[in-house]
Amino acid sequence: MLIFVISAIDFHMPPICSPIVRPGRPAEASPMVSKQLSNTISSSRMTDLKELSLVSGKAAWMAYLDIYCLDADGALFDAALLSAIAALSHLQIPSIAMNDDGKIVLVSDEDGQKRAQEPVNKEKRKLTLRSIPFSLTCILHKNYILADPTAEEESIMETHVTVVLDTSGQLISLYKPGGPVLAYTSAIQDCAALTRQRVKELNNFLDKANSAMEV
Amino acid sequence: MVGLSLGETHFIQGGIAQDLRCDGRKRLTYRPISVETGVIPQTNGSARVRMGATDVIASVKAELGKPSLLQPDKGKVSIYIDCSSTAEPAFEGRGGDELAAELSNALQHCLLGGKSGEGAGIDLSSLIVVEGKICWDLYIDGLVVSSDGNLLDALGAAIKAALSNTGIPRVEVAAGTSNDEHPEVDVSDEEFLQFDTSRVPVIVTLTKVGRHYIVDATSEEESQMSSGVSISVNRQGHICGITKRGGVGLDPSIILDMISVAKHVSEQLINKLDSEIASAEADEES
Repeated sequence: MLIFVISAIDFHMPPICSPIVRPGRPAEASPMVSKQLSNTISSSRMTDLKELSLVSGKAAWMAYLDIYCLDADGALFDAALLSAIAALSHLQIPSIAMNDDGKIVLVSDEDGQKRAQEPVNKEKRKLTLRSIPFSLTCILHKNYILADPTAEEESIMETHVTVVLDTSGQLISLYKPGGPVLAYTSAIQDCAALTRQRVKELNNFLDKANSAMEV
Repeated sequence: MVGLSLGETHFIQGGIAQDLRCDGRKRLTYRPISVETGVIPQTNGSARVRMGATDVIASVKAELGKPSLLQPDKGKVSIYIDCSSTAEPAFEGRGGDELAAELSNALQHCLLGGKSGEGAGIDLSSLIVVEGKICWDLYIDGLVVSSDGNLLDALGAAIKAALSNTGIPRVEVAAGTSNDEHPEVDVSDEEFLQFDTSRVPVIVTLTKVGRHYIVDATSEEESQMSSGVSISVNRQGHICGITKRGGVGLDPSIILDMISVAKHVSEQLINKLDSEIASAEADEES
């Protein structure tokens, strides 16, 4: 029997990020993006949640994912998803041991005197990421498609389409919250094609950033 | 932060008693301070300040509004602080609200002066466009990104830097408007006015640990504090505000000592901060 703990994902929009957001009342977009993020990350099966399990039926890591928007200038979900993936790919799980009382204890790498305790993880390790999802938000307007809109463009137009594909080309989610422009097959296919191109660009970008950080 | 063991608490207290803290600092030495300006492009002004592992962002947004009836010749300024849950797991959900409110109130008192507007770090009269009718409303927002003690000093420094970075659009008032009508205004996209921030004070927090007090306490040192006094001092050496926290009372002579020390420390802090802000602005322009 294995127990998994699902990550809690929160997207915050403090007043710092936009003139529209004032203290006291949370921004309307915040829970929407949080929900979209949760759905996307769980649907993509990007991580094996078993990796967060430590001792069967007793202990597991709980991962909190907090995303803070510092400057809202459109396509918030795209930015939030990219930052979530970057953070998860940078995540390091510390090595731990279980002592005689059955409690979990952090193990220092240099601590030779704690060898009596049986390590559960023998070394720091990273999460294994399988197919990584990336997203692209577009605006449909008459016969045109606007990729990666700014906040000003978003406030004027009413029809948004968000396509999420993973690195193996699978469609993870498609999100079109109403709007007067109908989503014809050809328009959706065009958006998916743009997203496919975007996935390659972002994947390269992420690889470079991670490589630069590890050196 | 995991709880400290008995040996660790003794080590911290002993270090402070001997004027050699865990990271090698003396009692009245700040951690390295770095300033970055213009970090949030959509605001009128913004800055990021790091003191050791403490990391805060401040931004200033300006909107045209109507002056208060009580003070028709002055603009309005409000300060709001948000504690990010990335700074500390305890801030998850509403955990950071109490601390954020405390920080907001302390900064409000230290930087904005009393209800009359006297003693404010900013000349509120400079925010007037048309007296009694149109003024600039400033919204100062702070975000705590990483928390390792001494948030109040870091936020005060970040707000000072953000105000230095702030550009207010020039406003032309159309001539020939009757006094009874709402004036027509034209807001420039290219011309900006900058604030005189020479009167904006810095905040120096003195944290009492054992029989001594220290500046720029880390969160571990703050966990050993009996009380703390935050004093805001401007360039002229005037005290603009004092707040105290922590449950233990202080002898008045110690508070007077603290004020004197804060005044002395603030001179170095202001000079350091002003040079950091100047170089950050220069970096941004290049």
